[in-house]
Amino acid sequence: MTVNLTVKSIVEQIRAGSLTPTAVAEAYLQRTKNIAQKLNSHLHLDEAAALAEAKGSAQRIKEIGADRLPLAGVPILIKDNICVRGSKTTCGSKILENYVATYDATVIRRLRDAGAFVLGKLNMDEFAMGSSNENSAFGPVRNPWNLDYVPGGSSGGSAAAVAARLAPVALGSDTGGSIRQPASFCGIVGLKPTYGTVSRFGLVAFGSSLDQIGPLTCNVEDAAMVMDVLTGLDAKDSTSVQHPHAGFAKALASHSDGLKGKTVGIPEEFFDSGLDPEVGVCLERAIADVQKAGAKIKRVRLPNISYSVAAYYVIATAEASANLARFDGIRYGYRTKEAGVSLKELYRKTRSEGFGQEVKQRIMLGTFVLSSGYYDAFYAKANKVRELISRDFAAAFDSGVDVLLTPTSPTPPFKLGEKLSDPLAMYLSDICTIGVNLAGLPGISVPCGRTNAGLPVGMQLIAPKFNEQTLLIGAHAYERATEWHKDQPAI
Amino acid sequence: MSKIQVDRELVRKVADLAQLSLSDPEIGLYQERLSKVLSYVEQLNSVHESLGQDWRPDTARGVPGSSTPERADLVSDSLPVEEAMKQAPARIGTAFQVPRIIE
Repeated sequence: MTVNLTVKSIVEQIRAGSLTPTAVAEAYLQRTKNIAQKLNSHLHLDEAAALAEAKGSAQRIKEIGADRLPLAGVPILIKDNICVRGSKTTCGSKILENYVATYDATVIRRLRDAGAFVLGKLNMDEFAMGSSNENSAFGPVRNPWNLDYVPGGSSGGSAAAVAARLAPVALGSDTGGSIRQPASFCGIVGLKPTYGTVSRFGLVAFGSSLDQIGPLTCNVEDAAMVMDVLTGLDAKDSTSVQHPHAGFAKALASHSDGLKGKTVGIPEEFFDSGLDPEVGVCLERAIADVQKAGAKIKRVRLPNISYSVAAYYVIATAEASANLARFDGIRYGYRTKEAGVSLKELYRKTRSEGFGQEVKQRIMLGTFVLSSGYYDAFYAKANKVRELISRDFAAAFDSGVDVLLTPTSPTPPFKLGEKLSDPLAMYLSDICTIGVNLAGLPGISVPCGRTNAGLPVGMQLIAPKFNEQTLLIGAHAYERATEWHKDQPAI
Repeated sequence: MSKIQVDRELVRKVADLAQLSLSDPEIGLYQERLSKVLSYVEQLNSVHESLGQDWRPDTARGVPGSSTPERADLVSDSLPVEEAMKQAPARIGTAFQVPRIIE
């Protein structure tokens, strides 16, 4: 079989009886053997375990019926900060290099219950801290469009693998843009749901008031199908809520009007001099295409959005410093080999040897902004700015805007090593996505062009809370009017 | 607020609070990188906001506008002992054997 399949086409063929989960698994595993090494996209690929998973999917299909399983026979790759029972969950870190998850994340259980199966686990920036996937303890991931370039991060393995068609869908996590920015860099679709939409039970925490799990897929329809399964209240995650407007795939099918009569807001702040000219050209063309599809364009302002990166690197690092305090080498994970040291030295050596440079930097930043004498100046102030940014978004939507359209990243993919020595340059590559996390909104990145060098460019749509339907309908209408999502890297 | 001067002493102090031990070259590296990021973050001071001194984020609700639901206590299965023990770095019977943590 060909591996150039969508989620939808796999489900259709499984239902028609022309394909089995095992045949799907074998075909993707065969392709993965040839390509994963070039990309360094996979951290754990156990063929026997993947085939056993496919058998489990076949069994569910036999017992329940493919027609009643929304993701019957669909293989899924998982970012390595999401727990899959019996499988290593390293978070791309030496400190968890031998950690084997003892339970399944809620998203894994929901996917399996829907007929899907886990194909393998993917590389990522250590503890999801990074925008280029160069911070993994297991080496950088490469962009399938050009191996000299980064795939974005932190879900770089997820984006690279889906773009290279090593699976039709991968799960990522997004704290400041970690699903959308790599999706943009790799020319695929990535969706960050409204905060609370998808359970984080079994996701290793980074910034707890910001983290969300979401899908990376080859097209919008597939994203809607996977979101239908991921979405839902989970008693094991107290921040999860009952989504008031679920049923995304159905909504796509019944809203053929798409963008007609919708108002698309263009925040001026994202189109200033900081935007790469080639990205600017792609975005101007996308705005024209959206207009041609029947949308009204309205220029809007988000007056405080330029402070989003500063507020984010206070709030996210503060939360990370607390969340990562649990890694101390006592009960599980890496422990220093140095013998005869005091307890304090045991903690310090374990953490210093186990964490990478960027993680240590963020732990220290977070520790500093929470420390006595600096809390009000940094942490309290950042929370106020977060509130102002949320109000800016609310005001834009209240002015009659249905969705906002922005670049996903101010630049196209950059070369490996290009931004490693400058932490600010790296942090600023998330300037278009971070505000969405601070305000808890849903955002989606869809491909909208290529640079002269052939590298993908993405645009982001942002909707009010729990309006994933609007987001998906808008993105789907754009996709139908353009061809960018059909492009594939020649790897 | 006056501008933060990130000197080697401050890096040492923060590393100490964060339970990290840094080598001399690392102290220099983080001094440079933290200085760069903190001087960028200081732009937050120029934000004009009218939320007032008393405004506080509701930390229980995560992001603005969310609420944390209440639920009933329910009895459910927990992780089997043998499953949990697979994570133990060393064991004594059904107990994790770990370094002494009370000195």
